[in-house]
Amino acid sequence: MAKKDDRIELLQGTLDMLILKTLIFGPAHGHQIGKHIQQTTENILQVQHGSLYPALHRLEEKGWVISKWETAPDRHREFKYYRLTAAGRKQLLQEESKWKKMARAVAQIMWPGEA
Amino acid sequence: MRWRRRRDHEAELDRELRSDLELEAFEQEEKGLSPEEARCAAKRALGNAGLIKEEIRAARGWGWFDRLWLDVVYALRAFARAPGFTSVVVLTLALGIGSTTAVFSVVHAVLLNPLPFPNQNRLAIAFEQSINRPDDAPFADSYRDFENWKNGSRSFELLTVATWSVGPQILTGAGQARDVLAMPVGIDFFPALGIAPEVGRTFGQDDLNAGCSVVLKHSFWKETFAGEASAVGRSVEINNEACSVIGVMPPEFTFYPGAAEMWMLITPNSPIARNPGAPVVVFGLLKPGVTIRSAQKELESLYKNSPRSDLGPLGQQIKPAVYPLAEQFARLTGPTLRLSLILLFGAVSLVLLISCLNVANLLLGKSMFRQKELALRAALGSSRTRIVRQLLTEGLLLSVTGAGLGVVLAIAAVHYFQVLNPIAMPPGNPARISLPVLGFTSLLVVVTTLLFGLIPALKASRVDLMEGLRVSAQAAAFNRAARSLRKGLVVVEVALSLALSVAAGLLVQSVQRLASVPLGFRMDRVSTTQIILPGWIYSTSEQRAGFFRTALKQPALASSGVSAAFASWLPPDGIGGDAVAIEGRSAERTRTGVPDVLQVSVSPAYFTAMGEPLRVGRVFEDTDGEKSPAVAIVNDAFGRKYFPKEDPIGRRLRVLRGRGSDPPWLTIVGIVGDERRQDFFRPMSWEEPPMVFRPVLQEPPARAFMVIHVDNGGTTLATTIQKQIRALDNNVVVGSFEPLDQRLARTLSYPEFRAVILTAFAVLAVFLAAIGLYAVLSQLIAQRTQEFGVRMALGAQKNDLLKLVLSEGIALTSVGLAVGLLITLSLAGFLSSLVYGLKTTDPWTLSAGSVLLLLVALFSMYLPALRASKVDPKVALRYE
Repeated sequence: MAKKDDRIELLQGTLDMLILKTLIFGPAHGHQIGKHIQQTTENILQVQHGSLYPALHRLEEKGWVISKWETAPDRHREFKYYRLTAAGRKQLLQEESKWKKMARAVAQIMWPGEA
Repeated sequence: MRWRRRRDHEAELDRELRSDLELEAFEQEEKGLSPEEARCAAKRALGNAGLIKEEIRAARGWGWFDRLWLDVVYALRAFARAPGFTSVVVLTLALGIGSTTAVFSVVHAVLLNPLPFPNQNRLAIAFEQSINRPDDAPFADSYRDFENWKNGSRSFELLTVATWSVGPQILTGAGQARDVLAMPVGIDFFPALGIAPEVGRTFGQDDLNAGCSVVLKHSFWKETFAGEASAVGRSVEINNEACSVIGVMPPEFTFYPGAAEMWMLITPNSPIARNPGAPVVVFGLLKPGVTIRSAQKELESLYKNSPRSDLGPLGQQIKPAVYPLAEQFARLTGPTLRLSLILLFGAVSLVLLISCLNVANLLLGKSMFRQKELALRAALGSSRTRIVRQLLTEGLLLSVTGAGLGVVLAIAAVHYFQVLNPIAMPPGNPARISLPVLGFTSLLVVVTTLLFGLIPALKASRVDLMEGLRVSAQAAAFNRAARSLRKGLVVVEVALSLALSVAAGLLVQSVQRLASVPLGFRMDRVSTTQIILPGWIYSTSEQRAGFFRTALKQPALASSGVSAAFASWLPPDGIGGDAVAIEGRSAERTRTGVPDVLQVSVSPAYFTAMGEPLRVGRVFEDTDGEKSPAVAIVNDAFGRKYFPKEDPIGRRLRVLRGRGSDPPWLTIVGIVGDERRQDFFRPMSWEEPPMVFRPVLQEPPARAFMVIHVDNGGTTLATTIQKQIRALDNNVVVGSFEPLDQRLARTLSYPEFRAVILTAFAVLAVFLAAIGLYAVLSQLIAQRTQEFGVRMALGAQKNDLLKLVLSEGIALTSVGLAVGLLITLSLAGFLSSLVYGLKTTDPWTLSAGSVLLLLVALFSMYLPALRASKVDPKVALRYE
């Protein structure tokens, strides 16, 4: 686990993009999504439940994901699985390109030679 | 539906978060923690589940509903804790909103949406008006004008004509002969109004060549034909002529005057069409987009090309005047109706404003005591908008409840208004609590809530946490600011109450003065009725004179202690409109002057019956018949105007009516006292028109009044007389007798109604202001109890404290009175046409109003002041 100082607060709106990206690999429930983001970034990005669940419901309200209660393959109980919609896919592409542009722009200022 | 979805979602949300919690605990357990520790760790990881759910609800857009619901529940709990306060507030609002709604329902029916016709905004009516005296009431057009305008005008889609100046119309063949108003109208009358008949049809081209045809009013159809559809095709007998019924209008159809029971087509053979000077009103449906102003211009130029010839040189001095039809029914019904309604609506708005100020005041007072609660809420994270919203929700609940109660009050008030029928209302839409009126009430709810809710809410939400949470909240600076605000509100309340009281005082005195003017005739024990001679039997002057001679010989009229007489016009109605020529003077001088002489035919006993004094000469005698020399009696006003320096007795005059054959010369044989009469279009004044009386046998009218005065006040005689005259001729219409003072009371009904309602509003306003003053002073004392204790401990006497509180109250009242006097003086001009016999700035009324308010204020100060003087220093110093 990373030390407390290494953790980074997510930028506004970034969480939505990360959730959408996570769901590209297939449907997942809230716990899995949180854990996925956390583990993939080696615990640098900590997703609070207080942000994760409101974000999921916000995405569903906007129609980018849909949810369904389904039985997990490894456990004999139901979880609320979130699944990407076509609109969600489109949104993800947009967010991605926006994010890339921004990252490049920041990089151009921070490390002028490298870009 | 929404609730259902909501509850499902809530359950699902719980389940989702719980499954996360369980999964987390399971994973922690796998890492080797004990089940207990694992559950705690999972809970820590999840954080505040309530907060998460709240945020999810916000994300889903349910948040406002939750908050509103919480606010409502919270407000209801707060109200239940203070039932006294709540009921005072709700009652105050109910009175304010209820009376405003009631007055608005009448304003809506009479001024805003008066005509039950489609296209009511395109209907315009044309009168004629004196060019030199534009303030005079507009008068009727002539039938020739109608023909000219109909041919020349391009402004109207349909131009039509109607008149209510008709000779006697007697309905026979349906029981006792009675008079009826069968209003003559043009062929486009119904199409212009856009109303289809309920049964049958309205007038068509073919009817112009047929005999008399009529369209019935719904109520007449119900009464006379029992509502049977077969009425169409049958006929009614009017003036001995069979008029075929071609249609029946729907029940809601009505036109001015409301007394019309049927509408009769004007054909080329009608007397109206054959008399070019026949008085009519022209009205029509403007083409879309044509304004009143351009129609006015067009008719003016048409009139200039062919002015009226029937009025002689006067025809050059008038012009057409076009108005929206919508405002004219009200003017024709009561010339002061419009102004009265505007006045009453203004007054009731002030009452509502005072109610709001009072409620704001009470809420503000309460919020002083709620400082701690609000500070605590702010400390726990309530935002300012959240607190304002909470307070506004409370306000909205109060005003919605008040409005609900107010609407019930308004429905009752409008119902009683319809039942008691205190004033004549114009035909058209009746006053009722309709949907648009309820819409207005909802608007009132919003406005009042903002008015009384926003001030305290904004004030209270600016909470200083430190000050608010401190134990002695009363000392907070907030309270000083709120106190001065509350004092300001009381000052405004006192000021507005003064304005209303003075206005009410002026109107009440006007009615008293109007009613107490000596009218020149007596009213006690005098009763009157109308008699109409059918024109088809009594067509000549000789025939009519014959009837009157026989009638005057009936035994009942000669009973002892009775004076009975006929008169063609009875006061207070009727003002002069005829010109006279005096023998030996040039005709020009009298002809071109303003025609202001009133000619009345009376039988000899008239002056005795009416108690009018004979100044010089003689009254009429039975010998003043058709064959005796033509004589006249004039009154003082006539003498003053036409014989200022000479003796009129023995001089000769003639009354010029229209341009007919030369009227006879009349020798003046006597002078009597003046009668006061009233111009319908100038109801707040009495006039003494110059009058010429003629013997009823020499100038017998077709319509006459009978006046009887019975010394002992008995009423059985009236019935006997009625029977004996009816027995003379069954076709003669004899009405029932009515005391003369009742006739007079009708002329006072508008001023009385205004005065009564305005007084009620003024009383309400003063009462509310007194409550406001009382509340402010009591709370002021409650907050200063400690200070008073200290003062007493330091040696202040009871009287000193009494004086302290009283001087505070008197200062507030005086400022209020000063402001009120300024408001009153600046608005006084508005009342001038409704006031009689005194100025709108009458110093007595102004001072009486101020003294009254001061007394009421002293009374409401008394209790709080007494309480202040009874403060026990020992208790007060411990008081917190």
